[in-house]
Amino acid sequence: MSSQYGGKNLGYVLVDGSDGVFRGAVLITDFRGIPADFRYTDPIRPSRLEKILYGGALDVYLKEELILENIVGAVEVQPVLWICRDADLLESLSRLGKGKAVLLAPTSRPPMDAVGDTEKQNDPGSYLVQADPMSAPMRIALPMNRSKEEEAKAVAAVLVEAASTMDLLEPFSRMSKALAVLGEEQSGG
Amino acid sequence: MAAEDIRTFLARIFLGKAKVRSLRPEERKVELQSLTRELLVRPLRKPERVLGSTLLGAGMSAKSKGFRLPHDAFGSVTGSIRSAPVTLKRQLRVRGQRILRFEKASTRRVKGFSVKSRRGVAKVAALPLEIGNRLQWYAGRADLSGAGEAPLALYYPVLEDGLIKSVLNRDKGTLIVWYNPQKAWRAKGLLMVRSFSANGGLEWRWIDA
Repeated sequence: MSSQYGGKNLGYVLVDGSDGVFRGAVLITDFRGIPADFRYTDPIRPSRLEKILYGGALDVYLKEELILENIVGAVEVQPVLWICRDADLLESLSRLGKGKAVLLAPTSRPPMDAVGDTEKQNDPGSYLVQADPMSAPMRIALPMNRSKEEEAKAVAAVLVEAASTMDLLEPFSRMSKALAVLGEEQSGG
Repeated sequence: MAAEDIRTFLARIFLGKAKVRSLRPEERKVELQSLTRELLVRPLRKPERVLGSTLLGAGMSAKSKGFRLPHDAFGSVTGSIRSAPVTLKRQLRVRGQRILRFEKASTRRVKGFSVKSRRGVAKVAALPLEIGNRLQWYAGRADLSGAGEAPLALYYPVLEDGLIKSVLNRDKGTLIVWYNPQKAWRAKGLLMVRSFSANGGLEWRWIDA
């Protein structure tokens, strides 16, 4: 199915803890956005007492250790690049994913001169990348141990290749919808 | 004589009835009241709270007693104590009382939480993709339409050959598409144009981006 794209995949990670319910999902897609693997967790609802007892450590433990470790470890298809949109997950994702990891976020900046251009930002490890000719540049952030410009160029090359056939941020909204549907199914059942 | 008698008579009548009050100023108690205000200082910052390592359980309880260990208490001490372990004699006694109690400290993880990852690729594969309007970012948008036409939206990238079904989401201005993964390879732009001619309406055109 994905032979034309060299079997390369992107790994999208979403871990949500809003409304006191923690859940996570990993979507592996090929460079067209077609799903190759999808893993999700059942929602975890800490009680009010548990939230008081464990404090801020609970959020970190559930998101970065319990959920992230579980779903990243469960995927059968290894992506060439892990993508998240939560800065708190980036370092853990880089460590657990055993590969390139990046935080990807939209901007409203004017397009840069050419596709593939990168521009270093003030935040360490943060760059703007022009991934395709018809969108605003995207902001990427790299993990602290991989924040050099060569790493940014390598990540930008992967993003540019994928952006020619898919919307790079679209899988996040699909994952949110999938989790919402699964949540409704579980609460209904 | 008579005057003396009258004086004695009157003295007997009024003796002890006249109260003598002292007006000496030195015996008055003067109460001094200061006009200076007392300032109450209240910090506006939040009280500092130290949150312990909540993932380590009750094994970290600590007690402090005010005594000094005798010099022979240490079983072994390395030359300079930095990260080297220091051992204490198990039977350490002070004034005949055992002062050390050994309990195995245990580190505990947050209990009661477990998670299982489930496989759901079939569920997510059934969901359509949502493609956004890129017209505002397209540099060549002036050349997209002819006379009497106006480009309304440009959806990119759309896999032309694998497109099974598409629905325009009028509320969000996005295009919702379903693909056949076996055939979807070639990415193009899908342009929506409004024609102002007599029979005009909305038109869809594929363009090479």
